[in-house]
Amino acid sequence: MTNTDTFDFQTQVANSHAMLLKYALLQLRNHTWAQDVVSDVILAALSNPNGFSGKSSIQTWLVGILKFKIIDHFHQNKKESLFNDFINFDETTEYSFKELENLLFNEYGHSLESQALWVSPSILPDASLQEKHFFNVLEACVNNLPVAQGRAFMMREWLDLSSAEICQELCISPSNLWTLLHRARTRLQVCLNIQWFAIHST
Amino acid sequence: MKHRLLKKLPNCKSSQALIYFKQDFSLSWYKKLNLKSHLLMCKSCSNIEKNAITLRALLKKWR
Repeated sequence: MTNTDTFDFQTQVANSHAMLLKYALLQLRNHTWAQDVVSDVILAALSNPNGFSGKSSIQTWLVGILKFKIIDHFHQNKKESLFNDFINFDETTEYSFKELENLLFNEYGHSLESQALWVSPSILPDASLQEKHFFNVLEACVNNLPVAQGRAFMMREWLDLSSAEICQELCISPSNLWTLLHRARTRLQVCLNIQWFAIHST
Repeated sequence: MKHRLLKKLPNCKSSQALIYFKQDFSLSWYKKLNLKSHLLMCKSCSNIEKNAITLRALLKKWR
């Protein structure tokens, strides 16, 4: 790398801080942990610029390191039982999910409102812009999930871990995980319906 | 009588639970059959299943 290249690389890494912090916060749902992990990622990237092969964008490379560091974080904190709050479905959450179900289904468990078919932003004419807006809405919806549900959902869909791996990482039973993910997905469905698909579908 | 029968049939609530369950775990043949039979007669739930697939595809682009 030449001097200008190195400078360029360093600025790009530094400029990715906000983007990395956004993902770390969505996954960890804890500001201190997220800050720590992101600093780790940036230090690791700056101290090893040759690790960046140039095949993908710097952002993609950094997100890759971030995922690796987050899984590492889960490993390290396993024994410190930082996940006590993970399984505690607090009463309010439990209650409000029941409320949500009452809004969705009648006493026989049949849907009260018919669900429309979603039009993916990827097939709209200005796909890349639409996708960008959609992901902003999605992030807001994920951020609104109760903490435990949000973490489980992100581990499954963003870290791309299998259900068995998540159960192992978090020391929870498959039925606990299933409850978390089911609730997360139901809430997301409702949130995306209201915030995106009701407005953007034709 | 009619109401009791209605309670026995796979309904939207249980079917949607199965749709989401299928994304993370595998379904037994009995549950698959339950889900299939409901999706055949419920447009709303079959839309939910398609929407779940759409969302999966979008999430792949996100990460």
